[in-house]
Amino acid sequence: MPEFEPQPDTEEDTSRLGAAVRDARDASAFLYMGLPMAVVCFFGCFVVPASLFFTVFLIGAPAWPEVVRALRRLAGHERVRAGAFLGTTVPEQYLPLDGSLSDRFRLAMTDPGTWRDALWLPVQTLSVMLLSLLTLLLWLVGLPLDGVRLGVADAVARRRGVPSRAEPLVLNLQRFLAERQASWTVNLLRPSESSRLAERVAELSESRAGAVEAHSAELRRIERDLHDGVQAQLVALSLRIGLAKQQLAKDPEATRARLDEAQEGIERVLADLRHVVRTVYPPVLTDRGLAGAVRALAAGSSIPVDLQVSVVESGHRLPASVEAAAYFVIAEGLTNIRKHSRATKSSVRFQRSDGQLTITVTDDGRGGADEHAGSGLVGIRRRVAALDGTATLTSPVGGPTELKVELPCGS
Amino acid sequence: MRIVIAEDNALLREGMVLLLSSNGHSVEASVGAGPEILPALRNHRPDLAVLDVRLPPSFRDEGLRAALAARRELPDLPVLVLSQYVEETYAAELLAHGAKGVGYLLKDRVGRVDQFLEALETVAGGGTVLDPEVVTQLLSRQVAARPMRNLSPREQEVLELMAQGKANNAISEQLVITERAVSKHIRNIFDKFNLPPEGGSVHRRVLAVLTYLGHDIQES
Repeated sequence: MPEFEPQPDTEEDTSRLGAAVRDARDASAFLYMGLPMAVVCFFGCFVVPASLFFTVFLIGAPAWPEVVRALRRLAGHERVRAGAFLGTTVPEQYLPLDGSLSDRFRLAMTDPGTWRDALWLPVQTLSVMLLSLLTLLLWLVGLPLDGVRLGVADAVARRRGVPSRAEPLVLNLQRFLAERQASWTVNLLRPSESSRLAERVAELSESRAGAVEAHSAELRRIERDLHDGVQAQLVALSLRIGLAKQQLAKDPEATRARLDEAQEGIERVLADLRHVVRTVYPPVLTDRGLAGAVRALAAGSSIPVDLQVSVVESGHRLPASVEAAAYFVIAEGLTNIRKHSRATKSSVRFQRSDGQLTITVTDDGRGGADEHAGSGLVGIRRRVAALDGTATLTSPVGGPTELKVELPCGS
Repeated sequence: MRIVIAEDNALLREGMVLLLSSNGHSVEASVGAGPEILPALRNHRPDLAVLDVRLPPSFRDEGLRAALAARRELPDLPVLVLSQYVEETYAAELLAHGAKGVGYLLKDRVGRVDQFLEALETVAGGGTVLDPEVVTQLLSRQVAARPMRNLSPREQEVLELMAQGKANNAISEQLVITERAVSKHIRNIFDKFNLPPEGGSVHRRVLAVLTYLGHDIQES
């Protein structure tokens, strides 16, 4: 039955038309699915300015953060939909609306994302409604027009014996329009440079607050060590000497005992004081600088240490706080290696770039270091956090172990 | 004994002058800054130099550097270095040119007058005195060092006291053992460190201490 025999050319053409139709259908589906959202956005165009208006007169202040929150959800939904249509993902970036009402109000007002979202509302409303209408017309015009056009072109081509080059015109416009709409949405809802900066500022404020807190804790510790330890001991010693003076005439033996006690006490105070000074800023750093001090640490280690300290020897000296933290990191690292790692060699490396000092302490030991087992690493973390730095310990079972500390150092 | 002192704290400097002169020593010069040390030592050629580590003008390790320079320039001059804190590296640097007539003590020890005077005598007599704190640092860090593993705990204790410059009788008193036992332990230490007998016992003591400090025993 010849009429049922497949006719390659025609089938190709109908399938081309079919593909165009399917494509146009998907494109307009994207726009029509956006219609409910456009309706919501239409109301949003009134709700957002209205709530802002009431906020100016203060009665609406509690509502404003909630309105912004809802706006974000709306925008978030459309961000995903338009992104999926264009085959990309659009990152979402807002300042978190946390804290007291005034905080939330301030954050909602200062986030540049809020204003971009607000601008997006009328754009979404108008573009989706108008383009949906337009695509409806295009269907009405395009289906017969492109159908006839392709049919004629194919017939002509068949007669000439060459494949048809005709493309559907009107139907392809649908996709063009839908993509335009989607890209307007994506461009408006993508985090702007200023909102990225705002995010970074929020991050830095938080880490700086943490650093200030850690630094305060350190100051309080030093104060406690001096006040409860050294000062109290000195008072007790003064008392002993006072007693000795009182007993001098009538009981020389007791005087001697008091003075002995006083001397022992003074030696303890000196040892304590030395310890406090060492925890604040090890004197060897003053004498020899960081490179020299680390060399002294390495010389005292029973496991060979491969040192790369040239970057802290050349150039100007690091801030004292960074040097002290680096020294403690390395001292603690080497102590842990000696005590726990069963390593045969270790290394200490300094790198300096972009205002960041990176210290890496490694060993070839058995690994499996648990940072919660000892308090040493906790102390390191505290010191490093006080300088807004980070400490990471990688220690798989079987080794090798690596302690990596990054400290901002200004230059 | 004729002594030169370097100490920047006036109170402590006067206190030391008082302590030394009231114990029959004469203080030839007392200086308060790093650059004044070497000229004073050259002028007075004292029997002993007592130097503070941290001195003006830079308040770093001027005193130690002066001590090292003095040991190069005047090898026979005994030097006792005093410091608010001890670093084993500094001890190693001081001993790098030999252990004869070297001392390294925490300033705290000045208060124990008798022991301090004894330490002065030891250093002036060519002996070695190391602060117990340095020795503790060394012990805690050098436990895995090779030669130390062969020593029995008692021998380690004896060596530790030797490193502090103590004589046999002082060691026997402190450990509550007979002097004969102390000598036996010391002989064992010498044997285990392979120290030849021909150097004389004082020299061998120094070598043992140097070995203990992780130094090459061929040196000195």
